[in-house]
Amino acid sequence: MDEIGGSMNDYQVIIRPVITEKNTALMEEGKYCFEVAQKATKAQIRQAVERIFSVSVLKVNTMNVRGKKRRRGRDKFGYTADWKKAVVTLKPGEVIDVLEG
Amino acid sequence: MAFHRAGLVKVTKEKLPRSVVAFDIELDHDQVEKELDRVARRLSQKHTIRGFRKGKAPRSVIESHFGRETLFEEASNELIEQSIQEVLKQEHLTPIGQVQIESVQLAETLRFRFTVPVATAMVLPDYYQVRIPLEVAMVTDEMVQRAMSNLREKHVALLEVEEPRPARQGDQLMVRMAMFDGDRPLNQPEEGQELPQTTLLLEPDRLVDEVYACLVGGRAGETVETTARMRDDYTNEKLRGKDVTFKIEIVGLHERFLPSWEELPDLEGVEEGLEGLQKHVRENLENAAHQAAVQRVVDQFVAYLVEQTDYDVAEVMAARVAEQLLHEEEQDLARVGLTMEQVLERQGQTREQAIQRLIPLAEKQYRTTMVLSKFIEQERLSVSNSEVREEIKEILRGHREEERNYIRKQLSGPHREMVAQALLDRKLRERIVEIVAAETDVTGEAGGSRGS
Repeated sequence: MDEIGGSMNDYQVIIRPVITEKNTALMEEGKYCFEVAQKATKAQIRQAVERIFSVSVLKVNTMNVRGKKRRRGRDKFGYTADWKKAVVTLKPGEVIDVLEG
Repeated sequence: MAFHRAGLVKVTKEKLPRSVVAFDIELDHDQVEKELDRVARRLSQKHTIRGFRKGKAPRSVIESHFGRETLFEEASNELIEQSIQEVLKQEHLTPIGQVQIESVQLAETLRFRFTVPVATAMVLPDYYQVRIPLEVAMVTDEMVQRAMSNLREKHVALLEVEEPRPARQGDQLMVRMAMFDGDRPLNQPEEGQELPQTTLLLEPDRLVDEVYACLVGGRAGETVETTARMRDDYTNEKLRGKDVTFKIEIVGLHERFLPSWEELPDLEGVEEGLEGLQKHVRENLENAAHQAAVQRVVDQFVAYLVEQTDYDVAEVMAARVAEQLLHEEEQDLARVGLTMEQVLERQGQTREQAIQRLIPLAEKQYRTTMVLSKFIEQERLSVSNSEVREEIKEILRGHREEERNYIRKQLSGPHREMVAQALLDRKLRERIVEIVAAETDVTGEAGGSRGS
């Protein structure tokens, strides 16, 4: 098990960009949304984004997203996986081409 | 030729042989971008993309989701189709075959080349100066007499002979005739089948001398044999000058009773007696001679028009007509119980080869059709509804009362077009004869009283 500040590389910290209608609108304000490792810290996320995309990060906001309830069959219920979301604000004028990866 | 028009940056037209036109088209960047946006919007509305409501995903997301190529392909398909339609409309061209799209390049701009066979304009030569004499063959007394004899033959009565007797001159024989060149059979039946029965009229001028001689005196059920040297002018070229052996089985014998000359007018439904019938026969022969002369004039005139008209038949049209000709051959074969596949197999040909074989004929036929259509248009020949109605009435007059209802229904319905076509054909012939036989200038008369 990785410890905080342990041996995760940048691509283990940033799992994928989250591209949704809302996030696409946020991109215009320089805010980019990523799914990140649940154990990743804001500092790790900042570092990873700066290194992967060669940009300067102004602010990182994170939140844990609870898995959604899903029904299987008539009376069986389960949950989708919990995950961690990070909204990274870049310095004005900087952009990330999230679609190019 | 290069020119600009709304939407299309550059259009270059090139005339190719066989009525094919090629266009090089270039569309500008803005138009391509606009189309890419439109396609992205359409895809976004049609498909669910995770994280977006339908129709809300931006073009960049759509591009990464479906792939840039898909978007480009969709956009270029739309643009190419629109451009082709626009170009053809602007150029007033009527395509007569498939458009072929070549070398599509889509980057900042869209460039492509397409070729299309089109109906080309045709200019007929000045045919008003053409003079072809209408030479109607003279009907001689001998021709009338021969026609009268044929009429008499038509009413011959065949009677079974009551007592078996030897065949004699004038009899009609049913025979099976096998012919041999030495030992080699010249007419072999299909395997497991008998030779077909043939009817022979036992007259010295209708048969080879030796065959006539051996059949006279023969009886039904007998087989006679003779060898004859075929004349050098014999109809079958392969047999000329050869010694052919005939083995003839006499299957049946009928006595022929020709009606007397006096009976003939009655049998032909002519009330004016033998002289009246002769007059009627002469009129028919004269009419036929006139028709034959008209046909010769029409054939020569049409041949002149086709030869003097510069018209490039599009390959696609020649192929289409050849296909039609093959289909007609197929229908003819079906009437005698054969299929095209059987015939082609026997000839060692494929269907494609058969079509290729028909291409020269198809080209000739299509060129003639186009030339005549142009002539009809130029001469403003047409057939009105009232003319068709009159023609139908005329046709009905020649039929019995009880048949008329059925024929009227047929001619007013499914076969109306045929009646109109026949009328137009008649007008066409009349006009051609009028032009080529004219002593004065007939150019000004075009269309005057030739229907509406």
